[in-house]
Amino acid sequence: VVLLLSESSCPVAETVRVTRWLASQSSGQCGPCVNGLQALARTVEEIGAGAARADGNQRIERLASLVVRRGACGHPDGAVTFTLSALEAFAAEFADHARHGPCDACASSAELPLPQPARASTSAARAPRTSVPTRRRYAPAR
Amino acid sequence: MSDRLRLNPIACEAHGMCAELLPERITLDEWGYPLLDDEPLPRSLLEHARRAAQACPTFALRLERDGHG
Repeated sequence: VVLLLSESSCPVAETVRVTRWLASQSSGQCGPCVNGLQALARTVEEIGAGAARADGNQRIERLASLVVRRGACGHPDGAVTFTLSALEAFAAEFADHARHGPCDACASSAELPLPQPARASTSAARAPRTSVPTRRRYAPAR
Repeated sequence: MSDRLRLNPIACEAHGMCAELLPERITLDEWGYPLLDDEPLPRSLLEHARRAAQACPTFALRLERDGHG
């Protein structure tokens, strides 16, 4: 599927929206997908808002390597591929946002259609594990 | 014949026992999920690998043997 972005849209804002949506669509089964896609979405968001640390792109690369091929299905791999490809295709725009923050088109840009609006970037994340969980998520095999 | 560690990413709940028991081949990512080395295990590590697999509270880690290699 190829969709052309209009002149009035912002490719960075579009990437942020789609990446956040992809993170929200994790089925929550595999840790690297749940945590990795959320972190990826958060980092892309920070870059778009001009709030990322100087090593934002390195962070993306690192997160991508922590996610790819570490889930049971292809969702995390597909999400990472989309994000990396957007970062490469719109490198100049991302660099500009990282330096100067959101552009004029950012707020209104919502061109790529999503089946449902993305939830806030932290809502799908499992709480960080600090102790051994007491509840099993699945029935043990008999 | 070679032995490899296999992880079921759905079952894994980031307890981290495996990395404690087999640090030579398993490190943890920033969320505590194991990063496995896909290379066949040398004989010297087999016993440690077996223990790591047995210690996994969710049976997510397995030691697999394949015939060729």
